[in-house]
Amino acid sequence: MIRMALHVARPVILWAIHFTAIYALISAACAPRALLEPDVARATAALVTLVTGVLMLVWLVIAGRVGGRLNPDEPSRTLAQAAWWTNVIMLIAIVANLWPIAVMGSCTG
Amino acid sequence: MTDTTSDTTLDRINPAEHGGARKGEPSKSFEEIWDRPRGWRYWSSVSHRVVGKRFLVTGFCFFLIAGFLALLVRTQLIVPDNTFLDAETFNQVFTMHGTIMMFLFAIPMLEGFGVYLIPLMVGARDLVFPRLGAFGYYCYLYGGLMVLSSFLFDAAPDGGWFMYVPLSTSDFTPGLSADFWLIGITLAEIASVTAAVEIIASILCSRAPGMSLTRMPILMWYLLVTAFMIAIAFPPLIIGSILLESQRLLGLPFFDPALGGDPLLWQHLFWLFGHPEVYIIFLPAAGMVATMLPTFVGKPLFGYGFAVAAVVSMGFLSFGLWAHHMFTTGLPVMSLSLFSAASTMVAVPTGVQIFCFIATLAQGKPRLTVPMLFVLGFLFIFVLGGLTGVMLASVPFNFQAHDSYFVVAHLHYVLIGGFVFPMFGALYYWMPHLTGRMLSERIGKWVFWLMFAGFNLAFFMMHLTGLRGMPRRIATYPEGLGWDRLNLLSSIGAYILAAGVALFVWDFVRHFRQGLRAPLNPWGAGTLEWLYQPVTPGYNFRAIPEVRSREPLWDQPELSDRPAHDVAGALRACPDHRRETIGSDPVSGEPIQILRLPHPTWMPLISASGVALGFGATLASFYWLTVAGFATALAGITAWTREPSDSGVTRDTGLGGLRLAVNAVDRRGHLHVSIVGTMVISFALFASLLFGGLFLWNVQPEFADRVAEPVAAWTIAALCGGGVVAVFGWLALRTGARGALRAAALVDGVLVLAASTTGALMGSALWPVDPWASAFGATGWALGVFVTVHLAVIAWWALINALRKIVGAVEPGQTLPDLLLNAVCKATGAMVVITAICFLVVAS
Repeated sequence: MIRMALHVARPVILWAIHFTAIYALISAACAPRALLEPDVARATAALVTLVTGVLMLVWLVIAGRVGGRLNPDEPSRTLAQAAWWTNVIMLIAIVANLWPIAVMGSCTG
Repeated sequence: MTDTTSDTTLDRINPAEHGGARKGEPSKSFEEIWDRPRGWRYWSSVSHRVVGKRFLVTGFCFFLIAGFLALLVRTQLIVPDNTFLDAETFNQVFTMHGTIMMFLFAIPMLEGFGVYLIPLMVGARDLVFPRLGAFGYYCYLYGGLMVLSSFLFDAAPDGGWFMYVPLSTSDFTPGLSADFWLIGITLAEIASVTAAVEIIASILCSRAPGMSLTRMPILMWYLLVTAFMIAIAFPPLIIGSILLESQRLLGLPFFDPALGGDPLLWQHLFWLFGHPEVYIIFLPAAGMVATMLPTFVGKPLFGYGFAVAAVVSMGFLSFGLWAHHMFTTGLPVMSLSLFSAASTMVAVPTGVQIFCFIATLAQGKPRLTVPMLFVLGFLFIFVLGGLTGVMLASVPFNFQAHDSYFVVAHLHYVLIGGFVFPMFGALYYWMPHLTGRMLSERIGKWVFWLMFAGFNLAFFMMHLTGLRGMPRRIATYPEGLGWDRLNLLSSIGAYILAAGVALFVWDFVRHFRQGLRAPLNPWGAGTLEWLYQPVTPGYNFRAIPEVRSREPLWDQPELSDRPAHDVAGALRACPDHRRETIGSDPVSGEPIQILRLPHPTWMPLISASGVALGFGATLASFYWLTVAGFATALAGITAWTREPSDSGVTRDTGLGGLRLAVNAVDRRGHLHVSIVGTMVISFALFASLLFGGLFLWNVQPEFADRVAEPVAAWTIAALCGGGVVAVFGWLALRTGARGALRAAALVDGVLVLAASTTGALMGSALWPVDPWASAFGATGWALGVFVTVHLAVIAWWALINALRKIVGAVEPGQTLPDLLLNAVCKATGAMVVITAICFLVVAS
């Protein structure tokens, strides 16, 4: 059950890391210090999202398979179900995070 | 699982035959040990039932005060060009309305429900840190009274509940009004962070045998997520408040653009708290809805796993939305789009959760009791509020609606729909538990319909007023702009809403004499708090039952086929005449230890009074009293932690011969979990300061680059000091675990030296940096002071640990204090190292 609890926690933690990374990239590109060119920020964001997305897809498949193997009466099954849904929600959420930086040509739109 | 020992036998057990320290009350029976103190000693009570009720009553009183202020606002706006209130008073009234509702009503009410219900629902006899709960309550009470007392000094805050800078700086708000807000609210927030630690540790570590994570009542998931959110969301506001008060009191330029500060830093810190705050308020209320719904539908909650996924997702996503309150501040459009996307995204888990509720409703024919009416009212109002939230997440629409009455309508639909309606439902639902009597169903229906009709009349109109361009926070308006009739209707709606609340108050007063006595499990609920006939005895459970279901009262006949007093379970025996409950594994819920709980004590009141004196004296500029106040608090807290340890003594739990250690030295135990929780809060505070530094470095590069560099040699020495502190914290634990108490005391002594020296090195490193010359430099000092305070705590703690070992207050194997200090040393060491690296980067 400890493993299943971690399965619930890991997609949300990964989303938090991804969100922080995207926010940091936009801040680095668009604040007065201008640490990064917007194109560099965009490419880095795409790479980070690709890695995050693949990882989350793998977890999604794992959560589905683990949930499918468990007996319907087993307490861990509820957590497996929660893990699968959390993965789905967070997968959509990382795409939402990437969207602005992917489609905008510059910091001012 | 059987219970083999009768009460009579247990009362005759001689504690002296059982070994281990004796600190109980041998002359008292089990019932007397758990009895609430009488007379003036009532105020020394630390029971969760007493503290929870105090939170609820005090929070509701603040609700009535804030509601009265809202009526003043609506009376002023009822007609154009009104002179009922002058502009200055109007500013004070709406500021105090928002401040009291958000900080002194909503959060404390949810804390009150949490503190009261958690042990009852998870099968514990009390919270794991009753004194901390009592301490938090007194801090909240003092803080609330301090904020409210500003009216007496004609210094009520008038800068809005968000205290934006530069308006709230000394230049534009001279006098004490902003200080009342900053100091009073920070004092009240102590209750929130202490409650967060308490809730996390209690839910994870004191559940009944067999209550795994997946068998917890759904409300516990909501409260657990909320507690973690409080632990992470409140620190940015606490840091922001301290920085702003430092600017007002000491002249440090954190938000002064002329010296490299930035007013937007305040907005970031405030809304990093402010937006999750909405979810912190909403989630427990939704948890209460998820608890009440199955009762009235007669079926378990639909999609428990979906609901868990939704609440965990909302807990995280809600931290990614803060800047949608700042869309018109000139942030880069790319940033706006990121926050717009995240704001829209949070509708997904919210929708999942609402669909769980609707599907539960669809499973059966709900009984339309008063609590159920409020639940349905919640669904109707909150969904509308959520929809306007999606509208406001859209940047172009937000630009148009910003600071208009549309936003006022949206936030009241979310907060009154998302919190006040469920709260009233919860009050009707749990009132029999609180007082032993039922509120009137007939009056309750009047209360609901008055509130529902009044609310919608008042606030639906505000959508239209806002779309017609009426800005928020204006004291009056000229006639003929198309706002007159809408404002009149809004004000009438507010009076009708207030009539509903007044009727509730009358019903509440009436029910003490005329309310029907509550029967056993009056609503037919499935959760454990209804095991006893109200009012449940002070110990909650005579024996703590084994739990095998999420709705134990529905699925476990052995709990309901006999008097609750005779239900079998753990800890029926009370050989040490102490307050005790079962400590559980955080995930599986299996018993791992016996928790010793404190008896009534004055220490929380004394400590909180000291803290309040310190804060109040700072406000009044009596700094010697500030020192005296904080010294009193330190003495009080030290005295309450000074208790001979029973750690390691084993006792029979009554669970088939299972013997468990008292306060076991175990990382899964409540003390270690609470220290981890506390360190999460510390890291959130630290991260808020780091964010401040990075933000100023990024947006004000010309100032940041001119700041004098910290001394590299001292910084490297401090970095090493951080490592030494972490190593000696670990070494003290290792030495203590080997039973070498004298040697462990010596290591503790070295730790005192290491922590003190590291603090001094940090100060030396920062010496060339003038904190008054630039905001960036001031932030560097703030970081240095923050880690030094942690080092001072370590030094004080290690000193006490050393003294306890030297005077023989500790037996070999009793290494809990060392285990906890080790965790703090590691966390502080990490903070010192990160701070030093930041200084080195600046120096390079």
